[in-house]
Amino acid sequence: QERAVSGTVTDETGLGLPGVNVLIKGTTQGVPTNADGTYRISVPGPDAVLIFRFLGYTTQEITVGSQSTINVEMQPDIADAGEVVVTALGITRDKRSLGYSVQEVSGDDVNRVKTDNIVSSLSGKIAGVQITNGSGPGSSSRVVIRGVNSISGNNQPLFVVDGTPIDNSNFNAGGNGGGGVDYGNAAADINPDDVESVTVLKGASAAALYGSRAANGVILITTKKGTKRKGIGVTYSTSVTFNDPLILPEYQNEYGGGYKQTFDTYEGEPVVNYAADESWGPRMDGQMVRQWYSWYPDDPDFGKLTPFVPHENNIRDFYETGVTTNNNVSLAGGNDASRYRLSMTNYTSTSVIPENKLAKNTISLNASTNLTEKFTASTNFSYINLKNDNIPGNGYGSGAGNVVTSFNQWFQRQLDMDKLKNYQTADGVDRTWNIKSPTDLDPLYWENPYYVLNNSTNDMARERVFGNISLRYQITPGLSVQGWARTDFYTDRREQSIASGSIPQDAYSESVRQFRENNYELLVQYQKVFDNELDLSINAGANSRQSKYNSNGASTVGGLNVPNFFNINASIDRPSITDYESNQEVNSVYGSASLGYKGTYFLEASLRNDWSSTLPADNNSFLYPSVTGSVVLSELINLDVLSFAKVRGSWSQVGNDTSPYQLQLTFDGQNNYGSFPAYSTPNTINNPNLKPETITSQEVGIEFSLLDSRVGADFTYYHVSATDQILPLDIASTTGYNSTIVNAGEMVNKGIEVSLRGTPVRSENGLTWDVNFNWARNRNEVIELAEGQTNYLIASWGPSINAKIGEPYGTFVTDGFVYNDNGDKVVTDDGYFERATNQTYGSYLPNWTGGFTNSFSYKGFNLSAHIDFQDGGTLYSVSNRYGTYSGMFQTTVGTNAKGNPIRDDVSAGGGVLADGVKSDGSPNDVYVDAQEYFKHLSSRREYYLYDASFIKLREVRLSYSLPQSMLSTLPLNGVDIALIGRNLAILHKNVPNVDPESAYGSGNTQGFENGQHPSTRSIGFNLTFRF
Amino acid sequence: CTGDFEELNTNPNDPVSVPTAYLMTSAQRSAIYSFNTTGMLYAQHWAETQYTSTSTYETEEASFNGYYTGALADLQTIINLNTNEATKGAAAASGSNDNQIAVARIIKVWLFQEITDIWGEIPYSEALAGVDNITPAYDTQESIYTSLVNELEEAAAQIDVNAAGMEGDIIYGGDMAKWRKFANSLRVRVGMRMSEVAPAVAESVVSSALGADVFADNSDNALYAYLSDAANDNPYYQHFLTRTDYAVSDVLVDFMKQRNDPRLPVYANTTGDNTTDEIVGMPYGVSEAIAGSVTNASISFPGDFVRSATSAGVIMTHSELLFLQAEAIARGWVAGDAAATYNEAILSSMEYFGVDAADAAAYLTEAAVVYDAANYRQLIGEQKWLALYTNGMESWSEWRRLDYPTLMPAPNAQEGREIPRRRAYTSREYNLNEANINAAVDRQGADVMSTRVWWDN
Repeated sequence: QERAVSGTVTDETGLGLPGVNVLIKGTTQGVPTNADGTYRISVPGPDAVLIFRFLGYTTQEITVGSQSTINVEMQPDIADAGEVVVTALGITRDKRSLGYSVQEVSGDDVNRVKTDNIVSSLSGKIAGVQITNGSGPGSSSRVVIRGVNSISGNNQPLFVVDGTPIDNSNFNAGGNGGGGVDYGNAAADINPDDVESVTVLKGASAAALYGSRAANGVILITTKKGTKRKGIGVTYSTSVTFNDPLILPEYQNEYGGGYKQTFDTYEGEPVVNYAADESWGPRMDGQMVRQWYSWYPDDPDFGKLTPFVPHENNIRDFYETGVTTNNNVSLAGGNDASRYRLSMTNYTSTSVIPENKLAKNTISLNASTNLTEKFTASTNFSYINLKNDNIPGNGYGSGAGNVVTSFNQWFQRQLDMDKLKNYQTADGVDRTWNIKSPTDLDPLYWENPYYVLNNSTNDMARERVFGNISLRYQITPGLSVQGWARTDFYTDRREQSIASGSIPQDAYSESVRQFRENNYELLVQYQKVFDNELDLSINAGANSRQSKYNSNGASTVGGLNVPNFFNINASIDRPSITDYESNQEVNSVYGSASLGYKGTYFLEASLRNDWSSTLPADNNSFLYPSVTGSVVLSELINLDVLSFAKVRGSWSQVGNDTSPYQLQLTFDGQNNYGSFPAYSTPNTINNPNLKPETITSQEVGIEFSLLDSRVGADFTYYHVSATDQILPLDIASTTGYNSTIVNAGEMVNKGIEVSLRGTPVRSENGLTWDVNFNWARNRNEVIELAEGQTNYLIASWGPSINAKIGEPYGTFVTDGFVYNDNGDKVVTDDGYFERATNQTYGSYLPNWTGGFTNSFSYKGFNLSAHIDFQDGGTLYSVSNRYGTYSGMFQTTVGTNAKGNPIRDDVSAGGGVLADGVKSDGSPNDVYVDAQEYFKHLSSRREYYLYDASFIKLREVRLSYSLPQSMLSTLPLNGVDIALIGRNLAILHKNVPNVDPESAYGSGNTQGFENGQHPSTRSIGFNLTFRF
Repeated sequence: CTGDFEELNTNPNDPVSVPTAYLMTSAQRSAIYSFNTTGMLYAQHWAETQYTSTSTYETEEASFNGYYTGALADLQTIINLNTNEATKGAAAASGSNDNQIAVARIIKVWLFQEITDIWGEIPYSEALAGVDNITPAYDTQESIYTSLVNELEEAAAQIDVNAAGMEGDIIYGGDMAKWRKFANSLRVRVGMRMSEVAPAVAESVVSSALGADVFADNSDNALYAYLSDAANDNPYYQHFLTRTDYAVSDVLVDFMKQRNDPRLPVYANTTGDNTTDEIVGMPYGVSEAIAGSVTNASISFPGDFVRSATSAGVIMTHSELLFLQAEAIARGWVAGDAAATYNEAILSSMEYFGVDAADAAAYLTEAAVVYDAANYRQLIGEQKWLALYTNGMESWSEWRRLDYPTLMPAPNAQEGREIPRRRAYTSREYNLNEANINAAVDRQGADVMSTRVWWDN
């Protein structure tokens, strides 16, 4: 008696599970569940047995009996390692069927300890993903997956949230290494509280369907969604952390400001050399002297002599304890037809540097509903409002000077921060220690640090909306079509003020950047299972991407006509204007087909064609393929110990276009001369004959788990070659131009990734100990540049970083020591190191990176600790260079081999003996003046190149979930309490005085440390209540 | 794909064509940003107050990129647009084609002489060709000088004072007669530079040029007028708004004090930020430790006359022409009264710097100033060195040619170096134009500061 049975198949959260195979046992008949997890099938009679099968879940068999409705909740199959992962285009796939490496981090892992940048939460958690963190609220974090591919372009991965590409621009000025204000990378807008999971698609194979922009990998973020439940699930979580500097330089506390160890006199009284921003001065032995503040009539010590003594903690006292708070409320729920989740987050963070504060509010909505049985509408949107006030400058780049550059590089050690806290006179005049002279109290090189932070500000605000709306139509159980309209839109506004009376001319500038990217996407999906053995799925899609960027700004010129009136109208001269627009459109069609046989053999191929507006009309179309395959060995070999094993391999290509306006020659606008307009020829010759770039990637891997999946391992080897790169080729400037845009160059990355996991303890009494370890080594080599070109300059500030043929990307070239055949440094007859110019040193790229997590759980308690590490990578530390040049750091004092202070006169037995040999090979025996020694050393920059290796205790979290028994009388479903700590300790490093980790924005200029803001240690707590 | 799709890559930010006048304005503005400060430091007019690397000759190499990619590229574009049949019609809106080309050629000569004087051999005949020749050959300085003379002769001849003058011209406001005077006066400078290596050529060039229409008084001076707005003001004014890196050197101050030179209060402010009556020079070429101990209050900074917002950029003055003429007379190349011309040259300089006529006349009677035919090189060298204050490049070059005044190397010169005779090429050139630069170095001698350029012997 044939009759119909129907029902819904849900996952463990109650969400309808599409694509589950519903089969009648012993036959070849079957249907897949549709989009909302429902199915309908005809069965021969009550004896029929239905098999519910879905990869990654335990297969269930249910005898029909008299039932006409059979609802099934599928249970994840842990033993099968059958994780479902989100892959390109948001298609969920059984991990076992993939021919490439995919690693996923859960939202809990990302959220464990709150940071203001989701990128930094990934530090050390995924093999082959290198994160470099900046310091200070809202600063940039840089992420590089499997090394850098592009010589001159973007090397950041594509960020995708629920299918919507999220712009990750970094509009920081000054990418040369000299510094600037770090306004952060735009992907930091993604709210960690809304993240369900992060999947990293590492290679071109995984990302091929995303096209050219995914060449550096994809960070695929899936947000939390509502689940079917009774009532509304309310979750409230709050966390507070306190931040303090993790590391400050070791300063010397023996000698104060000046260039010589005696005081000059002024009108008969000893005076400090106020103009000196160095500490080669007299001993801080308490001698009475006119200090800087004694010249200010408003100071209690006006006209007085005060003791010249050290203030050992003057710099540490400057920093404050920063406070970060995060509050999130979410409402989630759903019924048979609809699901929703609404979430609101408020995040605030104050910096350890006074006056800097970041505030971020996020509202996000995720909803879907079945309009009819076959029509599903869904949407998700986030609105972000970010404000970062008074962002301190880095290095030398910001308008009114970076206070940290002063502390680390140019300062007088005796200075008393308490005296400096009174930073301006009643009239608002800067009270600085670095006065020009007793008769001229204007600042020479450095202002009072508090004056800068209070009066000369860098502010930014960004408002952003991203998300999509989508309609899906299930044509037949196996065939669906879905369309999306997506947008990512933001306005980013910046204001920079330089107070009147500052060293630079007073000024005000503001800029507004508008970015919009719209994507219109159509995807047809077809799935069919043949004979219960052969799984076929086909995807075909089309995408149109339109992006538009506008930047409008104005700066005052020639000062402000009313002091401290910060408005463009206050410009004394005609203000300078920026008016920039760029437009780009890329249209694409793509398709992929995958075939699985008996859950054992998998093969997948994809093809994509792009048309880009930025390439020449006759060369703007490019097609690229990928092929991947895998074999599940554990289906073929029956070993008790082996729970799961798979080998995989892939080959793929991705084409790439370029940025707009690289084809045609145009003239550069200059400031008017009076009423004369001025234009100049550009410095770069554009090229009307460009063709697309190509990235070819290959990878093989093996993954397995043993002992009931208590031990798991994954190994990957990859080789990526990026060719025909579009880059500016440097040409002799005597041509009238500095560069010309060409297709040239090849760069190769090859590497190994290892991730291991294990559960050493899983005891009956509930104690579990989990271990996760990952490690990756990447080798980068610049193989080829344009014909005749051997070096491409990436950036230069003192040393240069370069793409040099035969060397890794980011190789430093600078001046250093001369070595003899024995490897000893050669010293000249007058006792100084000889200097070798234009030497090639290491690259900023690390040798290997990784992370190690241990977590213990016992009856509601959970303790986890995460360590991450990096080996190698070169860091140039300007703080160390100038901190020694200026006699500020501890290394510039001490005694020499004769037992005398090195700062004593050489004639009195002082001085420094350079550690080297003379040209005849005999040991150097010429002592030189300490100040001259360190000043000479500063031009042997090799000395300030360091190995940036580190091991950091990145995160520790101790949490406790209240047992249900305690909650039964309360209207609560759960309470979690956690103590959290981030950046707790640097367990190992080789760079003195500064943190070896120092992101310089998220661009390709890396490996420079220049008055870096101190990295911070955060300790706090987190409370979560579920109602 | 639609037509819109291809239109999308049309740059909305920068135009594909502009009037050549706009390029001329840009070219002149970037031309005046030269190596002037380095010249002032090498000629010891100024001293560095704290970071003394330039005045202790620390860095041998220097880059000529800015000359080629700045003014020279714009000037070449102006010449090309006025020469090409397809564009010369449209370009004529900014002045007659010939007049525009002539002005561009004259400025090119001024700059190319400056470049070759700094480095010696440089790319010249094959330069400025863009992608058509990305490795231009280096030319010998002798051949460059020959060409510079020809260029000036042809440019002067090309000028038609009755046709439309150059638009966008900051230097002479399109006055083509003045451009012709400048071309001829510049020819005297170029010619005289060859006095020690090719005296016969020098004589013929100088005498021919002096016979043409040259500067008659200070109103003919080739000056770049800075404006008061921040985008166009004098770079020294900008510099001293925020920095105090350069003071007047003790060498110059002492030299002028010995001669009671009435220009001294114009050249230098008094100490204590112009609050005292004293003018004190900054010790020249000392180590940074020594320089750092000299307080700003105790030394004199350059005078307001030369570093106000609108202080002119000096290209060539009537005074300089008169010194060249006096030297030509002294050498017997042209007729005239060397002493009188020498005195006129000094008075012209005094007039330029706003010195009272009576003070100027008194100065001519100073024992160390009075002209002495037997010693013309020294006197002309010294007085010209004083008159060329603010024109650093020319001061350094003329010191190298005449070896007067007697200057001592920086006391704390790095690695015991002498006063530089040229600058070395940068590694960028070795990377990008290796064969040609190596050939130049083979001909010219080691690529160091102490190697002399062709005309300097």
